[in-house]
Amino acid sequence: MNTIYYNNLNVFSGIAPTPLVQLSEEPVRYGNLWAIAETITLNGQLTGKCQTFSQLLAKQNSLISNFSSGFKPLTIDQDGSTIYSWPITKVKNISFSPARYSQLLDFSIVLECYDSGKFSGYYGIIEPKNEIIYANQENGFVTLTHNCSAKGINTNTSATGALLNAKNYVSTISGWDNISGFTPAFISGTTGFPPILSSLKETIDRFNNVYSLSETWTYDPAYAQSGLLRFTNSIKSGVQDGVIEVAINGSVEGGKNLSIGNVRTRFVATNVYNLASGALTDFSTQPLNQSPLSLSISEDSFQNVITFDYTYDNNPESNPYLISTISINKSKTSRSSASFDGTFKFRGNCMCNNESGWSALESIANNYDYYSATLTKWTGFGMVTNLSSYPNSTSITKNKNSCEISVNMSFQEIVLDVPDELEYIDVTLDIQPSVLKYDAKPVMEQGTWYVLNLGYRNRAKYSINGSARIKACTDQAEGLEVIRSYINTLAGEYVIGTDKVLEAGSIQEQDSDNKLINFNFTWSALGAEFTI
Amino acid sequence: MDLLFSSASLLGLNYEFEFIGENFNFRNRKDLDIEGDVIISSGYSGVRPIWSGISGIISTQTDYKNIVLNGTSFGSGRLNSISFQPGVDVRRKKYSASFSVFSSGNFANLNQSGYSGLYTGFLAQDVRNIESLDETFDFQVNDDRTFTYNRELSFNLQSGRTSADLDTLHSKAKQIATFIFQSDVTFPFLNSEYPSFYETQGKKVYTENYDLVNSQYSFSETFTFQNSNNYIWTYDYSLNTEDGSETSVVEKGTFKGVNLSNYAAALAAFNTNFPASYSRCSGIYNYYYGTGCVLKNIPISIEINRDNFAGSINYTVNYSTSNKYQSGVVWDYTNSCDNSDGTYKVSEKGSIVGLGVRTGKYNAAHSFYLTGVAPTVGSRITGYFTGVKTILGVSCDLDLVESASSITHAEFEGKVDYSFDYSTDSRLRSSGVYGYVETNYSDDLSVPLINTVGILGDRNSEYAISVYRGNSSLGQYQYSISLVPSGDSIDINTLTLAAKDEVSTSLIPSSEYYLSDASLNYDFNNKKFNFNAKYDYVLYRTLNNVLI
Repeated sequence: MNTIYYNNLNVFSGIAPTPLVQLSEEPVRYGNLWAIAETITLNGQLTGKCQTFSQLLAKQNSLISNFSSGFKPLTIDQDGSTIYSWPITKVKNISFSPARYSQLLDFSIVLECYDSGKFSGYYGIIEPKNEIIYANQENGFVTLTHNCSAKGINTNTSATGALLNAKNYVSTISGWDNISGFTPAFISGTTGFPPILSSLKETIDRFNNVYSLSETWTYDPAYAQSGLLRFTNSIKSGVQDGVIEVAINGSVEGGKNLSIGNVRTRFVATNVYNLASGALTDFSTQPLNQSPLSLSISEDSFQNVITFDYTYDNNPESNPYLISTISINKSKTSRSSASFDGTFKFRGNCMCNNESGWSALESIANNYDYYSATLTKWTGFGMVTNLSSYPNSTSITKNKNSCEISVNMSFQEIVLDVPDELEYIDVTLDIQPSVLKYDAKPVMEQGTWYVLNLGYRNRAKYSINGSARIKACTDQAEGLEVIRSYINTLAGEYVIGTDKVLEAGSIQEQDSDNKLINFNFTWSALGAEFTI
Repeated sequence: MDLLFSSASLLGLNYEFEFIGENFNFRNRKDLDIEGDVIISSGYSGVRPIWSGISGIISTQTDYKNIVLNGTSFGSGRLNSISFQPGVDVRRKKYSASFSVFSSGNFANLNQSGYSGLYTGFLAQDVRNIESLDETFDFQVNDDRTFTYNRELSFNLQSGRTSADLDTLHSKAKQIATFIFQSDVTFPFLNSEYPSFYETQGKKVYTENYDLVNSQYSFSETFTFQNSNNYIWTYDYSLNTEDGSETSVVEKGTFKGVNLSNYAAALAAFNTNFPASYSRCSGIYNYYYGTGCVLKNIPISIEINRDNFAGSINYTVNYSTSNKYQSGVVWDYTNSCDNSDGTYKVSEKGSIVGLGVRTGKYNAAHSFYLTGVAPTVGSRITGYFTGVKTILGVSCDLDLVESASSITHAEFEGKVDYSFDYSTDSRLRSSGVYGYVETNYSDDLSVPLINTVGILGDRNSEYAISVYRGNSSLGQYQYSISLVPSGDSIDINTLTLAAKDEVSTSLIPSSEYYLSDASLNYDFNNKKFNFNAKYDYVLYRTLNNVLI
């Protein structure tokens, strides 16, 4: 006695005799044999004693009802034991032949089955895709795109597990471990350090039970290190500025599988200066200054990317350094002068954010010999007169935030030496020399003059006038004494003659500025006759 | 294990010759359709024996087995379908099935010109595994006259084995692609300029596509080249003239390595070819502008962009005809002339920027100033002034004397700025103890003394009579001299003597004079020496003397 059970029910009992069974098998190939698709067709007749139209309809409905639950087991039993079975079948079609609906009604039931025992491939999925695409990139990277997808079939009699089957299959073939052993035929550089996961995309079509995953891995054959480092260099040199600048612009990428910490570690371990210097080596023997002219670093923590942009130059100045100009102005009609205009500054990152940096800058600015630097240019310009060591004007500005100290000093040409105790001294010497005295008289209106040599000379007069400023740190009395001494020295040099008499003298302090001293001295003396 | 079918009838056989493309028979396929019965000859026990037989046939069905019909082998093939017909299934069950069996084709005609190497290469493989194969070549002349060739290869393989051998299948795919890509292609393209480019050992860009499940493979190979060199060099020029004076010639170029070490090839090409950029730019300039001017052999600017990962070097170099580009420096200056109150002030203002790095730059600039600028500024200004006089119609000789000069040292920038002022001011002196002198004098004239007799007491009457008394009044002549000493002499006695000399050479209108007063003033800080002298003099004139 043969019995066919569907969903563990004797689905033909009381409805029809056991139908005849047709079995068709089609290999399912994806390159290789993947599975056998089985189609089971049950051909039978609804029959019974004196079957009426309504009775046949009732049996027809019973038959449809018995197969209304899909994805159930189908078994052929003989004498109570199973001789053939399909664990999960999909009822695709129940058809009834055209008939009068009297006594007999032919029917055909088509079921489909993917038997796990006839799966060469992964059970539970069809239309699998496991595609690897290697490609050379312009920047030297090699990308590996791994496309995985599958369409799930139901392998569960109580719930729909098709999509899960597809996902599980994709899961078993995706990921680095599943492709690490594969090597391309032509493209090199895919061995050594694991690539980073540059992109990952999953696509789900839940009604069609299709699950897709595309992952792109990127190799960096240039560096067998974690993360992707790329950069370009721009090297500029022009006669107008005369300095070679090397810009390095690059990025470190961590993809989806590295942490931003990994990326940071890689970037910090990257010697950007060496990369820039190495680039310049290709074109010039000039060494680059270790301190960058400028630098910027950007971190995108979500995209795991650090981008950087550094600029170096071959300026050999140490750090901190001085940018200065020294001007000499020479005139034939007035006093010549010189000026120093300079700025001390750092290059590099926050050099003044700590006191030691700022102190170093101040120390260099404080100890710089501005006068000597200016005097060198002064004498180099052919100036033979002296240059006052005390600046006639000074401007010093400091900006700790911008890490700059600017100094401007002006110096003037001097004829007379200036004592150390004084900032300056201006002196005017007036001389009325001794001349022979004459007297001219008309002679009795006779048309002639009588010129009489009076036989004496006037006493010569000498005046030394001027002003001076005592240095702030000089004691006032000491400054005054220096001024007096200075005037005495001048008098000794320029007041000439015998019988010298100091006729007047004054030294004045100003109430508002007691360091500014005005002086006025007058001598007379009997000098030699002044003639021309 | 073989696929065994007994009691089978061969219903049909189709023998298909399969080709790669149109001409190359790579394999043959036999399609067999059979029909038979699963027969139970004894031990009938319901349908169980029949279904057990079915199960036996199907369970042994795996990919590519030896097909045996009624004890005769038909070769290795695969089952396309099998169907067991409905029946009572007690003694027999009818079935029908179809199979495909593959055998090697005939590649003999593959061994010809243009296909060299493929024949033996294919034969080394099991070409029956190939389901389909396509190959295309593209050869394209690009806009920049480089050539690109692209080769695409795609094929499917059938394993002929179990899935466990897939790795072997993928290796076979690599081998097929390798021998096809590496085979010696000898057929030419229509463009015969580079007939042997296939042999160029250049860097080829590949894509490799492996469908590991479906055994579909595609490969592409792209190669761009220019000539037999291992690099591509493209460049262009631009010439720009501004204000009809300076013309600049810019060469922009790119070196791209196309061999296995791209960047090294690009760098070597750059080092070889870049130094001749001046020669090329000069040639371009001469071609368009003639040889009237000379392009200076000093690059005004150089910019190099380097991508060693892409193996490329881009560069831009700029040359100019401007005379300001001298050997080692850039020297630019301007001459000007101002006329005020009949005095011409002629100036030269210039700047010198050294080439090279910072310290060397400044030294070059300063050295050039000392040797090439300062010693010759007088002649330049004189030459300039000669031209100015021509324009102004000034024909007389006017002496130019330096009145002022300045220099600014910008060491960090490697720059020296300077200025020189010359003047026709006669108060300037080019040599001597003073460089500048101002002389003023006043003459209180000695005039004839007369007696006037008025008419009717009116001395202003036209009839008044003036009688010369025979003498003149006492005249006074005053000198005022201001000197600015020149830098190398500031001694007060020397300046006094110089002032006296100025006075003594001045015109005193009488031989009878007497120094009545003198004063000297020296403003040390302002470097000014003032000298004043006053004379009394007597000059006898007649009534009709005309004064000077």
